[in-house]
Amino acid sequence: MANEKEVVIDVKNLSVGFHVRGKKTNVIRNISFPVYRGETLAIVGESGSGKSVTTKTFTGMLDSNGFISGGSIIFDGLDLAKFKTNDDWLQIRGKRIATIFQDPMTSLNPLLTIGYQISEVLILHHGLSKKEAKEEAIKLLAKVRIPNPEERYNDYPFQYSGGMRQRVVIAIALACRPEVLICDEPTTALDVTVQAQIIALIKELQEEYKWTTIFITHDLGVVANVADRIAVMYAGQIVEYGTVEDVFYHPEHPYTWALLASLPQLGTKDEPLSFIVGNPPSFAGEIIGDAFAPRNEYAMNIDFVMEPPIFKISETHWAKTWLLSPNAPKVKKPKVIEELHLRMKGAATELKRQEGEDYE
Amino acid sequence: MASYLIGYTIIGVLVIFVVFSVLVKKRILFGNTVSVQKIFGHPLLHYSLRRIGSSLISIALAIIVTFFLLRLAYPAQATCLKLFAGNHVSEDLFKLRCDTWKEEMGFSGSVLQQLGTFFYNILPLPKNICRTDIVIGNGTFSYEIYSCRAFVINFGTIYNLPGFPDGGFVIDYMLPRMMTSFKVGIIATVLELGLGYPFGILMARYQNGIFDKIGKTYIMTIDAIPGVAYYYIWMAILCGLFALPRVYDPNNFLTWLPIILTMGFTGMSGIGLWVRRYMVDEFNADYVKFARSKGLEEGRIMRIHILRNAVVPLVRTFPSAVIGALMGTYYLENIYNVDGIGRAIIVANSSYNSSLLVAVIIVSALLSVISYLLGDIVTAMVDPRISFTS
Repeated sequence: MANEKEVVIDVKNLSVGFHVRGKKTNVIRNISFPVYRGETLAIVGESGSGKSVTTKTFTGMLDSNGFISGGSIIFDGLDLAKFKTNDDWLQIRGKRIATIFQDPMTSLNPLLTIGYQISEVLILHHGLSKKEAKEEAIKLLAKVRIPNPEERYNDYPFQYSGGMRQRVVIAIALACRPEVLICDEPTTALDVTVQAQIIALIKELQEEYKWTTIFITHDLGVVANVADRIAVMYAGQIVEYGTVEDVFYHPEHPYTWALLASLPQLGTKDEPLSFIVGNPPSFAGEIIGDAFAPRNEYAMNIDFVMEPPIFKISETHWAKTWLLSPNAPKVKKPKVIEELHLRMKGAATELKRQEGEDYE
Repeated sequence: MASYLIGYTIIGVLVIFVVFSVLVKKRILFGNTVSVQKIFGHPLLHYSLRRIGSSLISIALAIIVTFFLLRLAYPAQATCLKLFAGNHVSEDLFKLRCDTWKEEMGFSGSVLQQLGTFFYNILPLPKNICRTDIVIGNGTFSYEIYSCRAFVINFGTIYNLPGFPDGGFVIDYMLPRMMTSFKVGIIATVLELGLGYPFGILMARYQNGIFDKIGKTYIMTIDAIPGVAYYYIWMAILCGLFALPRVYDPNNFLTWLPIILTMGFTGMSGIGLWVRRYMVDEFNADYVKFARSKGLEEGRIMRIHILRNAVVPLVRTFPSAVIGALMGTYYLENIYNVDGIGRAIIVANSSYNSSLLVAVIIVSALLSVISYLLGDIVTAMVDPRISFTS
């Protein structure tokens, strides 16, 4: 199935480092994954796992002390990892790959009207006149369901709620008409009911505009709702990659198990909530073996000395864990993972019931 | 008479305007007339009126404190002695001059009466001030009224000040000197802003680059060296190295340059520091990153999204920079021998002219109130997030 799909961004052996106080740290460590056209790829993982840094390399938005230390990012025949100057990136940013950031409260310039901020993109990327841009911006505001868009065109961001601001940010992304839209935790700063609306809006617009979405989140509940494929990141590496069904129903990496087990929606009344013990490793020193080993209750001796290779599970699914080695002992997955189908069904029913109440 | 009429008419119009605006705002008058509400009920107007009202209370309190401090620091008799006792003046003449002076300066009557007179004189109500001078002729004394003048504010008279006639009005001393200071100060302010902004922008634009490092060193040097020493260093550079004239001459612009350049080069460091600081904050703002991710080119991001936002917090300081030029600067006016208002407070103190001292204090208090109010208004004009509705 995967082979039939067109790869829009092909990341190969990408490594990213940062200069911190005179030292080099390696925060993305040799990752490879494809992004398929028209699909939604969710990148999940804890804070600091490298999700945002990975996607920042697609638009040249790494902080000034960051650098790509190896690998390639092939997008439409261009190797984005080789881009150096702002002029190079002007061909990509916005018009071909756009980004929606986490916090809508700070993503918009507080001193410029909403209308201006949408129009400037339309004028820049599509050469519209001021008047045409205004008309188009009002249409876009209507599209993202801002009520009375003609009147609200001249409003300032502080006159909008968080959810409405994120809609405006989406309208700006729409104005760019990108091929790829990176959503960097677009719902994290919003309350739960608004989160659902924003996700529904992104999905709806994706169907209409046929763009490819890269959805960064640490919320697996959101992932189940939006993604076609999932890349699970830990300590600067992708530890498991597969379709939603692969990762949710047949997860193979102990970190994926732990992440799924931590979903509060899957908890039951009589069980304490599950969490991952310990902290992710520091990037200051060299990471030896499997970075997850110290927190992994299934860790074997080899995990502490040698980095696991990629083990292919199916055409669409792979994981980086020694547990998949033919020589590894067979382990029983945690109970919550075994019961994931049933618990997710239960959680979905509960969510639907709550949504019904919210909309009443 | 005409001046009374004009003065009280202006005051009457102002009072009517304020009362009318308040009634319109409270919708007692023209509650449903949009055009009238728009002008007289404007939030900015009412904010300004509230601010002016509360400032007047603060100024009145400051004046009361100043009045009592002055009565303590300059007791009438002692001050009289300092002003008139020299030059072998006979006791009778001294007493006469002293009594006249006390009358003029509002030292007669009880303390409360004196405070009342003090307020009456400085309240902006039209008043006709006639003053007497003592004419000595043939060993006898005679009084002669020789000048009456219409005043809005009467700050009193000055005695014993070299280069200024005894009994001359404070206002006549202050106004020309304020103008002198302003002429020099406003050019220096323009220079400060003209140099300070590009200085800060360049430092922020090339953060940690060579220009930024030189700039930071300059700012730190100015911070570290005491102001007076720094002024003398500039004087040595400008008047020594570049051979610019040291003594100020109002008719020769070349002599204005040392003080203007010293003020400009000093002031630019503070402006540069803040511009750089605000711009660096803006560089890291999320909306700047979002603007970049939209595909905007760096020049546009700099102009529209960074510079504009960085300037907003600094706009507040523009009015005070301009108005501040009216009050001059003590050290620099001394160094370059500029007969400006900056020296007035020291001159007043050393010559026991409390009237001049009060005038300088009140004028500078008023100017700072106006500066802050204008600062607020200008900030509100450039920052849409600020509203004046309560």
